[in-house]
Amino acid sequence: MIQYRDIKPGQRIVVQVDIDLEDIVPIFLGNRAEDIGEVREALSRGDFEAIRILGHSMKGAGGGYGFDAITDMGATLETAAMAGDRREIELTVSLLATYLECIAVEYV
Amino acid sequence: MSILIVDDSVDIRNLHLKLLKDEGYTNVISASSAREAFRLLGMEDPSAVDPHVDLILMDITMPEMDGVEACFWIKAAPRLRDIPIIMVTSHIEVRYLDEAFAAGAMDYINKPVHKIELRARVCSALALKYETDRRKLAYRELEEKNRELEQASIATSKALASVTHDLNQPLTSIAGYVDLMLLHPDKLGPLNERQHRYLEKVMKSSHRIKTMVDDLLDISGIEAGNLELNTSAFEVLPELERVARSAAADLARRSVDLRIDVPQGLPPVWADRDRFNQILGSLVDNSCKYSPAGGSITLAAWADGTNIRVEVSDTGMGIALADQGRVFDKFFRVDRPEVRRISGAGVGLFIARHLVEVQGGSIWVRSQDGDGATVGFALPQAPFEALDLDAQFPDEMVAQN
Repeated sequence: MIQYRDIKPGQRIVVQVDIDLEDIVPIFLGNRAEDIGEVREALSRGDFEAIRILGHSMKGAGGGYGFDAITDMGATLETAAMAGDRREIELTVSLLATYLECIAVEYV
Repeated sequence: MSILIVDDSVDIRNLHLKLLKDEGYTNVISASSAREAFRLLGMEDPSAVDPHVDLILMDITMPEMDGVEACFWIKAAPRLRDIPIIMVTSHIEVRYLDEAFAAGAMDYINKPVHKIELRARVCSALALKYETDRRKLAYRELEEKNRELEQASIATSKALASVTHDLNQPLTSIAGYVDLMLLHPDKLGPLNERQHRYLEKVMKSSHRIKTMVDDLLDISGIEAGNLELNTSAFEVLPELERVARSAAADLARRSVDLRIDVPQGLPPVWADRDRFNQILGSLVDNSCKYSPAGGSITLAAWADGTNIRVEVSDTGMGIALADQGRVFDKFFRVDRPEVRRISGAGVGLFIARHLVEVQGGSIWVRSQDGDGATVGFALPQAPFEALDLDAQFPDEMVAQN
């Protein structure tokens, strides 16, 4: 399994996803792209509770779609938000952005 | 079958909607919060159209109200309580399962949801819901039928009570005038032998009808639950003697001997005296009817510490074991040629049982086929404070004074 912390920009990450989910995976990934903006915006407001909820939601959904890395990032965001750890949140959000750029979904 | 998904994550809702639709569940709706679910279920507006939800998939952690509490409120609504709820949990939320099951959840499924597991759990929950609905419907139909039958039975009882009540008055008149003619020839002029014989037949028949009407009145009283009791403490022996005296003519005609066996110092019984005599009279009458010529009947009474027990034993044909459990049923008669010859409606023991039970007693039968029968009953011994000590122990009381 890919450790999301090791992802480098430009890397190609192939994620195999159940073909049944072909229609809804783009929506899911689109929502994560929106999460990036929302987390950054919440962070600028200092709204850690919003980040915690977002992280919790990412954590819950990622695995179901086959993106375990997103689940892990969600968990990190949730914990960091509870601790008020800005640095960790910023780092995780940028890793999420990189991850979304690098993945190539392969429906199986 | 329709399914409601409750989850604050749009991605989870999309995922579960998709998985369920792929499984052929086309009627799937979703709510992003407990409140929205309540609205969809019509919980906030009783006049709302029932969405006919057959299953709920409930997320645990949601803002405002969590899934466990939502589950509790849904289960508290009578209209919704039969909808099975499957909790959708992450591995961390497993610790809330205790509460979720206590709130009425029937199952849980772990996130991330595997489509085969989802299919299996949803399928089994819906099968259960289907079965519950089927039983509920059958139960409602039975209830409805039961109500109809009860109403029919009440109507019959009322008709019976009113008919018997109406029969009673002319019957009393017939019996009264016949008695008058038979017993007071001095006032009404002498009867010739044939007139006397015929009137005796009329009197006997009218007494038999009177007994039947009284029995029917008792039955309608029993079934309406309004038997009046006048309970007091009284000695048993004089009552046994009284009943024996009333049966004396019948006993003599059949050459049946009657013995009374009561120990000295038997404590008084706590019962309705007239009803006590009626029970005992009915048992003696039965024993007499089914005794062969030359047979004998024993009336025995004793105290067992709490109750006064009375037994009537005869040397008649007895009651087969298979019939012993049914002799106290209404209209039950043993189906034997020698019994069919003897008149009776099969209500005597039914009435006796109710009269005993309504006074807090019990009744039983003991018999060996062909070797006589014993029917007995127990009624409470009079409580100490109910005893008239002056009447019972006048000498001691005087001595103490």
